[in-house]
Amino acid sequence: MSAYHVVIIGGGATGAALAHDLTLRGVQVTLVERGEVTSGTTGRHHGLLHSGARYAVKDPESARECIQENQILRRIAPGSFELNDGLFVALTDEDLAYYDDFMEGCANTGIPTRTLSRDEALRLEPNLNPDLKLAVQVPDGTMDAMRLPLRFLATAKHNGARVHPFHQVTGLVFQGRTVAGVQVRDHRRGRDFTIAADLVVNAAGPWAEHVARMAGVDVPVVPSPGVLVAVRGRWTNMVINRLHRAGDGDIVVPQRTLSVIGTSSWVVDDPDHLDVPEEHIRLMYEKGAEMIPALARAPMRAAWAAARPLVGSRQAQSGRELSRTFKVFDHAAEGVEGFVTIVGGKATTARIMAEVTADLVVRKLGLDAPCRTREVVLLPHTAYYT
Amino acid sequence: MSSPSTVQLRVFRYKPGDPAPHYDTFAVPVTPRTTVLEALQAIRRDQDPSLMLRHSCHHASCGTCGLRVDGQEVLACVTPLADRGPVVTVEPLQNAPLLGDLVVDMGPFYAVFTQAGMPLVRSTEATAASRPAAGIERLTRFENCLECGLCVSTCPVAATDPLYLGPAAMAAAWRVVQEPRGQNPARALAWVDQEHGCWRCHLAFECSTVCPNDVQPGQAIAALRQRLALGEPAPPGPAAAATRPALAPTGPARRVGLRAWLDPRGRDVGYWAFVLHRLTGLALVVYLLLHLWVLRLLARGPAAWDEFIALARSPLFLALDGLLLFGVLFHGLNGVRVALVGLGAAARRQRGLFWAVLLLTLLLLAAGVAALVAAVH
Ligand SMILES: Cc1cc2nc3c(=O)[nH]c(=O)nc-3n(C[C@H](O)[C@H](O)[C@H](O)COP(=O)(O)OP(=O)(O)OC[C@H]3O[C@@H](n4cnc5c(N)ncnc54)[C@H](O)[C@@H]3O)c2cc1C
Ligand code: SF4
Ligand code: FES
Repeated sequence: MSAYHVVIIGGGATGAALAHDLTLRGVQVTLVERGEVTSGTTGRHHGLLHSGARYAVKDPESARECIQENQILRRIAPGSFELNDGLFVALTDEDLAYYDDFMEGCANTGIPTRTLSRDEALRLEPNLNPDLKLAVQVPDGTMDAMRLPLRFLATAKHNGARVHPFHQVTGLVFQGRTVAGVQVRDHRRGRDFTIAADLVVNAAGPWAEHVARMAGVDVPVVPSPGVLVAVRGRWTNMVINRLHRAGDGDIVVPQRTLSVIGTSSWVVDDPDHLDVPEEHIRLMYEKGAEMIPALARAPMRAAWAAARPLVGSRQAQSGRELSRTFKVFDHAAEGVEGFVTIVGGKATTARIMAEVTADLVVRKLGLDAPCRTREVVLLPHTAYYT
Repeated sequence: MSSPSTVQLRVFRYKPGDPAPHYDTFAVPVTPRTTVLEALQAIRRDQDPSLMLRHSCHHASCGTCGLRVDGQEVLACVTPLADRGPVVTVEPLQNAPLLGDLVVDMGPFYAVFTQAGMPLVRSTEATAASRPAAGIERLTRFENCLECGLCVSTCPVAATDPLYLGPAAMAAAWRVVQEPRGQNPARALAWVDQEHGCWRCHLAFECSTVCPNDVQPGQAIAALRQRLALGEPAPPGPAAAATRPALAPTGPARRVGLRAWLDPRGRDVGYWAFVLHRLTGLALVVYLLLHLWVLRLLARGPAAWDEFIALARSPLFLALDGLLLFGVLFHGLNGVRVALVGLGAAARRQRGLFWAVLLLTLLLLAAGVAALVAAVH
């Protein structure tokens, strides 16, 4: 193990995957998270292991990332997914008109597809709207939003990383213009102290802007919330998407005994103030029931919101116009050394985000250590606690 | 939506090093939709950033937000605050080491799962191959357990036996028996067939009542017993010894032993049913011995017997007769309740059944006492 010590701020999917990656490369890692791990956006996401098909037409870069990671994750985290696949269903002539673009997008980005007739689709999923025209099967899947990142953290911990939940970063330690550590508040023992580091990575998701300001730099992160509604009953086995340009309420992800309808999209300033507008809940029911009519009568289990950490212009209106890909910032470009920010992406792409970030980190530290996360099979999530 | 009203949240507070836990009260605005979790997040954001709580999925799926709200184990993310009265008390789960405030250490909970030496917490790949079609909306799956620990928190046996395997782990073991998927069910059976395993359960059934996802661990334990008693005997496998780490290395002192039995704090209906059942059971045993001793008087001749009959007509003795009748009635009727619940027939109604048992006991008792009094006079 090298003598270098890296502090990661944020215990979401991104921070967890990065802790795992850097630890495998022989770097000493300390991850600090202000609450319980995965209590930010990560735990609250839709639970979709993306095939990328959703982005195949408009955002091919994200689509390619998704399908590649989808295949890698199935290999390194067996048991964390339901291998239930997904269907894109066309309900209207307008949806049908989108079919050609969709198939071309999938072909160009390497996403396997299988077109099903109406009858074939209904045989697999009898609760679908019987008016559907056709459906396309893709390798989407259901994932456990919390337990996949826990597996990254568990493996990192067992390889020597330190993980500190309930430790909030309150400021950065500077040596001249170089970040040399973090100031943290330990909410458990009520004490403040500093952790020295050779390099600090800001993986604070929608809070990344807030953390970057501690270093006097700016990152263009737009917290873009979406509402999700979980209803009782598992109405389909597969993930159901609407075959059209990505919009509101057009995905239903079955999770255990629930079906989760999502999502909407707007933008906010503060990811700690997320309300759940009543009209968004109604919209989810309405849109979800277009694909699966029985959802209209399914009792609600929960409605909640989570904020996407999207990279882009703060002028964004809804967040839908922003790419779902990710970006790594080396703040040396703004004159601050020892400080790197990683934002954007998806939970599905956390591993590649970590790989690209760790490549930059080891380069900056002057180490020659290749990425190994494509091969190493992760420990089960229970190993995080034991 | 109506305008927000205000609720006082009485929150359990404890940090390592504190001499004892205390409660802080926070005023929080609530709408009809506000959940306990959202209120706690708002407290942490606006009033006290040092408040520790666990949460992740916000929709009853990850199992991290388990708490006791007014003494009842719930998932905070799906528990609305409205309509609970002006003051609501929030406390951490029981029977787990306390890390601070509302956060407990799940280490021992997961340690039990790994003890079995087989992956009891299993993958979620079941439905891929099985392609369920008609009736899928009613499908409940063996992976339903959220690992939230509510069942362990409410379990009276977990409260008194730190090595008890507990409802969640035994429900997982029963899953292996029901649907092995490549595992060896005999090993699961051998694992629970031990002092701290399924025989330790006292059938309080609170685990099944509080379970947020219909896992029915109580019935699973009953089923394991049935299989062990009636089914093919499990080979003496390499069942791991119970080696759960000692509880509460850091938290405030918790109840142990006999005192824990009668401590009323944080107890639910099923627990009291269990305590009454044990006490009446013990009382009946004592009564039987007493009865044999009294019968011995017969051997001493009619005089001794007449003396006894006179005593038996005294008001004190009649009161004891009433008590005995209560014990017989309650123990018998609750025995029927336990059997019904244990067979799975009425698991969801164990609390209602308890009240029915109590009511019937009291009615029959009143009739019995009336008959007794009439007979004496
Ligand atoms: C509605 C919605 C649905 C989504 N659905 C999917 C999906 O189905 N599939 C998919 O792959 N992706 C999905 N995503 C995207 C995915 O959830 C996110 O891209 C991903 O979770 C981001 O992870 P992260 O680690 O970057 O951020 P986060 O999970 O937010 O982690 C950042 C962490 O930093 C912590 N933090 C902040 N400030 C500090 C501080 N000062 N000190 C210490 N810690 C701090 C926070 O508490 C937080 O835990 C969805 C997103 C949304 C909003
Ligand atoms: S059995 Fe039920 S109560 Fe117990 S841990 Fe599992 S989901 Fe929670
Ligand atoms: S936060 Fe996941 S179960 Fe409540």
